[in-house]
Amino acid sequence: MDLGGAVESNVPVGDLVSLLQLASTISPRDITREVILNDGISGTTITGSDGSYLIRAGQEAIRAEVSGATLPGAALETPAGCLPD
Amino acid sequence: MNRRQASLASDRDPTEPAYESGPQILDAPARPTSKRVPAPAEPGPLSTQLGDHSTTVLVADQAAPVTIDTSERLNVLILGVDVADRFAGNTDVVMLLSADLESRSVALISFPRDLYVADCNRSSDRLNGIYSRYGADAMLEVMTELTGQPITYYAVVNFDGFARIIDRLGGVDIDANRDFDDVVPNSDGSGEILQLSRRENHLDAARPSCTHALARTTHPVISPESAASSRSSPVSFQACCVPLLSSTFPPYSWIWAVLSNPTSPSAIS
Repeated sequence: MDLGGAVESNVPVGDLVSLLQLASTISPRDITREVILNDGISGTTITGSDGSYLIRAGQEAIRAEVSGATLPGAALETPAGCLPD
Repeated sequence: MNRRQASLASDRDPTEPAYESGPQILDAPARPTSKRVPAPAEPGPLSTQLGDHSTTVLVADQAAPVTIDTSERLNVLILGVDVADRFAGNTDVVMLLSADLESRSVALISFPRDLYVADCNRSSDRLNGIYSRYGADAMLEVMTELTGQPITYYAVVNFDGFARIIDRLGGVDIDANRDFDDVVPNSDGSGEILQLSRRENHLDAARPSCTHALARTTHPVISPESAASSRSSPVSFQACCVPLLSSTFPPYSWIWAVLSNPTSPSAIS
């Protein structure tokens, strides 16, 4: 697969392509998707150097969520009705 | 684990970028949305040998097989920058792909770009500015600290790259929530037309400007109605990965895309 410079990465190109190919064989049941939303990570807002509002990272909460998502079997913790057939 | 399904209520104009007015809660659409991505048209020869902590994958156009060590979890930071043809700019997409190749399980975790990361000993305060200011290694360091996961690898994609990947995967099917006709501005002042019909649209190399514009648009284009059906439909890895990569278009669409095929649409509560 020639990605033609579409991706900049420190993963060797051959490995990256191989991983993409391998990933395509992974069952949807074994894929966990998590979206960490702004409102879920602490609620504390601060003003950044450019004047914009930023969210202070709730590191413990984020780490807990990441750990949970990467645990074996995490993909099975799916809300009812959301499992693929 | 403390999880909850993302709020599905929205009380403001969904076409209005939330980040323009600060770190507002990025509400999901009124109903979850759907996007289906076809498998690669011709994925090429693929051969795997599992059970010995290595996987040999034969890839088309490749002279020698590549051996991947599958004995350890693989963490790859996926970054989507807000420029067309360079690997610079703000990383409005920050995702961790964590793969256990032995058990063949993958976690894709998306992070808000507006995180304040001063606790990571960087003078820069916004997460999406770390890469452009300090480089990929600094971004890896920050994300390793933030997540507690050792992240060794990264991959950065820009708008052009996103379109190219979509083409290489055989295109992407977009279920638009309405007829969609938008001029997406380029940085040089020109514009590209993103024209979608309600319901299914197939974007690929035959519609290069559309694919490119899809990467840029800040408008939600995914059909909420079709999400319900997708919840019970099998999804491919591409169906996850491509919409997630397409989160290069902030701020709504990436959430919509992620929620479009949810196995676990959740946020920390």
